[in-house]
Amino acid sequence: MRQKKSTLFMFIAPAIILFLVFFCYPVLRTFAMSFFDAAQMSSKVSTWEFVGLNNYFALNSTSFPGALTMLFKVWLFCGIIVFVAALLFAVMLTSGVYGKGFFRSMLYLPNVIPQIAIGYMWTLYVFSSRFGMLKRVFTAIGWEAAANFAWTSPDNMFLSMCIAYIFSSTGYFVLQYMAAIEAIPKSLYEAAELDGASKIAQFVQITFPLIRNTLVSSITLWTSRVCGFFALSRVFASASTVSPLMYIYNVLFGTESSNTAVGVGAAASVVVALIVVVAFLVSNLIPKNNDIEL
Amino acid sequence: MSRKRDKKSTLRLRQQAKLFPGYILLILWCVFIFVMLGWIVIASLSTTKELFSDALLESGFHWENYAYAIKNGHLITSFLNSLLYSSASVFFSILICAPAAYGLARFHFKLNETIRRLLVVGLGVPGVMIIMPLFSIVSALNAGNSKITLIILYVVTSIPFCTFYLLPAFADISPSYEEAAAIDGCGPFRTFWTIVFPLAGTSVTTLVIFQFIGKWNEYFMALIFAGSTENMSLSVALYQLIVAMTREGGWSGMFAAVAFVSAPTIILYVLLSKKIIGGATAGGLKG
Repeated sequence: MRQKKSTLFMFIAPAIILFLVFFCYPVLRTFAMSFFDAAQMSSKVSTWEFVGLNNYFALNSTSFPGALTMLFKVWLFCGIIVFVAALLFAVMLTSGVYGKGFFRSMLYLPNVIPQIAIGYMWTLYVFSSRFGMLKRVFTAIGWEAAANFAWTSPDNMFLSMCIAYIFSSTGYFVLQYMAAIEAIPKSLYEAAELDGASKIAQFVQITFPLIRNTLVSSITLWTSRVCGFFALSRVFASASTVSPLMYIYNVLFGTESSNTAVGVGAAASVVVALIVVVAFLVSNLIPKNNDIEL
Repeated sequence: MSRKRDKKSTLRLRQQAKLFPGYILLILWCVFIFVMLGWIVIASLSTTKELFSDALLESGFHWENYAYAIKNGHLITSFLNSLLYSSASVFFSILICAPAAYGLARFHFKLNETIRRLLVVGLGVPGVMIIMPLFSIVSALNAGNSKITLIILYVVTSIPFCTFYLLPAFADISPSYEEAAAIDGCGPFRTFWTIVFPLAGTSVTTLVIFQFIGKWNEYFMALIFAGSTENMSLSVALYQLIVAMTREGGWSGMFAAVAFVSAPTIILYVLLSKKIIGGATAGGLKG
């Protein structure tokens, strides 16, 4: 079908122009700002002073490296637990349990509740040292040490936050893995069953290789999710739970805004963005498992 | 015949027995969620004293906890704000992304591939990169705390996702619909909105619901661009309220606030869980 150029333009232009003006331009400006010294966020570009990589070096003496370490720990430890748990739940739910739809909805439920509310459900109730759920349960089964564990003391805040984060992230990946597993033809499993392959052998030989692409792309999704870590960082407020986004917020609008230059905040934003972009590129470099036709 | 059925059902039973550990884990998860949400609702209706003396609901239902939380936390205003932010941003992102997705799916032109690449990059770059320049623009315009800023931000940051989500939906629709409409003298825009767009209805509703919940729960940008009392969203209001109430020690009121803020999306989820899950599994794109 032949279409006039002007028609095409009218269809695509609104989205692209908005995207260029309010997304691409700000991204480039933030990137540029990270190489300059500016008095305030709203300072005119003409008053900026070029300082090269100084803002990036300046990051070193702030709490930003600590925030990056925190991010990496969340990425690695929570990531491993989330992926293993999600894979386990996904395999379970696709192997013929009753009430599959119900269980799946329950697993995903924490994802639809605002993160701030999730955070408070944990800090105010589950982890509470007075009437908390964990205290009650551990007292009931007689584990005194566990019952008296101070979940919300600053030393243990990071652990508590990770538990809440794992709880609210697992469901999303269960859905990804379930969709991937359900795309595998049933006939493969029937054939394996006839040949006497155990459930574990079936998982290793059939399921795992066939959902490999999904697993790889879920690492990218996980990375970009973790880089957006903010709300729980604010609820579980403690020195050990400051995420990079929290740090940037503090530099630009909060506690550190008086003693840190905006250019340093821009440099921190660029670092976070680079992590996500690199994760995207790396997952694209890993060869896709295309030799198996489904 | 009946023996055959017996054999089948014992086979099923044996299969189910193997899944027993799985059932335990799943049931534990559900019990945890039910106890957590249930306890919070019960605690929100008790007095703070009852919370500490382990005598929940002893003196009946205290709805005034909700009245207190709603009044002090400006929760009605922020509920309406959240409603405005989510619905306006979803409406406008569909309004501009649907035609764009259609254009990219249907028309072959030089820049098609370039635009797609640009949008892929947009999927990867986190929103934190656009915050500082936008903040400087709006503070220069003296619009630092206006509702429109946040809506624009939400629309702009969802352009890549919405466009990619709708692309395959429009690509799957046969061009013969438009050809017939063109022969009848229907212009391209009317054809799109009245004929093609409704055909992609299922994808559009899934996207609308999924995006709505995503924007409803967004916190980082809402905190920066809508932090004032008259503009704050529910999440922003909840944080402020809990911080204030922790100082006073009004525990049951805090639980009322948490319950009030969590309720809307949970109710929406109970009604529309299939659609929301459908949005979450869409092709491994980020929300």
